[in-house]
Amino acid sequence: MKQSLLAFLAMAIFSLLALSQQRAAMHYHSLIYGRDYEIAAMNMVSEQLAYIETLYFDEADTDSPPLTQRLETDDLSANMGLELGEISDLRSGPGATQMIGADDIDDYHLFSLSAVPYEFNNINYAFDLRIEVCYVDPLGAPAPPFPGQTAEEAARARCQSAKSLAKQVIVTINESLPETELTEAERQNSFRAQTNRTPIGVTISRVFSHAGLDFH
Amino acid sequence: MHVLLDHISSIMIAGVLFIAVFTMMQRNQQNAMEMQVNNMVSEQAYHFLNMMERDIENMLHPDQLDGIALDPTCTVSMDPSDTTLTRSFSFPSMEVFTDTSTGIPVDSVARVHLTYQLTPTLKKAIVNGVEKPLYKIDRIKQNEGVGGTAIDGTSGEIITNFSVTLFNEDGGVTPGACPEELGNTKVQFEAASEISFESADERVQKSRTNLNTTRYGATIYSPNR
Repeated sequence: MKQSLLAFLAMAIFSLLALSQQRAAMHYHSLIYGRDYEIAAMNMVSEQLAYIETLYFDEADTDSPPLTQRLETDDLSANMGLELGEISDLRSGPGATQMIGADDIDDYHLFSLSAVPYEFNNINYAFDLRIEVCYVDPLGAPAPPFPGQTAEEAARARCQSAKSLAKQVIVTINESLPETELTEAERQNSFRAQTNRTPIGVTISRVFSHAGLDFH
Repeated sequence: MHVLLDHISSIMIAGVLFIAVFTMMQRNQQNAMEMQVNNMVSEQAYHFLNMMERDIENMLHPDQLDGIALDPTCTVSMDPSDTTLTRSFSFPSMEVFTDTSTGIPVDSVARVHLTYQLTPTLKKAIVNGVEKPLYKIDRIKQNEGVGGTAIDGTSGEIITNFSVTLFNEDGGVTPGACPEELGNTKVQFEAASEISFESADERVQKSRTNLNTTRYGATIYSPNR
């Protein structure tokens, strides 16, 4: 009887040990999958910024010859976004996150797409894309986010209403979650329960100065 | 002897548990080794991508090489048997010289012609249950004014996929030679991080976790071009 109880106890302890090791391995697997998603998301951000980098600094510069020095900010756009008459239709094919009518960088202000299919190294992902553009102090340095502040909030904190010769583009990409009737928090919790990881989100902000863009 | 017979059931159970614990410890050790190798290969692949990004950012237009003794070609060549695999990517670029043997002053910026060449190796790896050949990407450089080429950097024998896509300024894909108005260059590659638990004679490296692939990529705009 004593032997049987001790053997049963040994088997129970071993089972717990094996399950904990399996759980650790599953956690590692989740980290690897999450890292792959993060790298794909960062690649999509860099691709989007590369598109935006080819545009003019402001609508007021589109008629200027290349290498025109700008010293004044009075004729810069007061409002960010597409100008009247510019179409927001997207290109087809590889440039499916580019707007055909965009000719300066602030045309992408409040640009957003959901469940954008993205192929990276022969694997298909789906991301939600959001872009914001604002004026920033060209001489100001970015402050690191304080505890509890997201990278997106820290980038927005740099924005100013006054016109300047520097614009900040904030690109945020989140892993696309299945569309359901649940709230955002419930969708995230459901995702965590199913995949054992948090949905991936990447925010990268970049400041474009007038001098850096007008080499057309 | 009668002690053994009296306790034979517990001895058998203890033996089975001992074997199971030993197997679990061995698997944990293998997993830990794979994690370490995975991290090392990821870091190696990341640094290689950084080097390629820097070179593509400094890419020059052939017109900027007028009168310079340097190959001006800019082209992407695909593998004839697998059109998704890039065999080579050649382009003129710039870099800061640190090699005193070329005769060019150290720390000066000079023009170079670079070729990222995908070279097959004898190794193979199993990725998600499929056997794939392993390649390496060599960075072949020709210095300005100096004849001949030399390998100046490599990714290591870890590459399972390499893809370079050129976009023109309208966002369209341009195969082959670089377009006159190059928009962006998209680079992607996949590295396998497997270690072999078989004998040294084995050419196929096997992973226990099936999570042995690292993928990196970047889309780069070349402002100088």
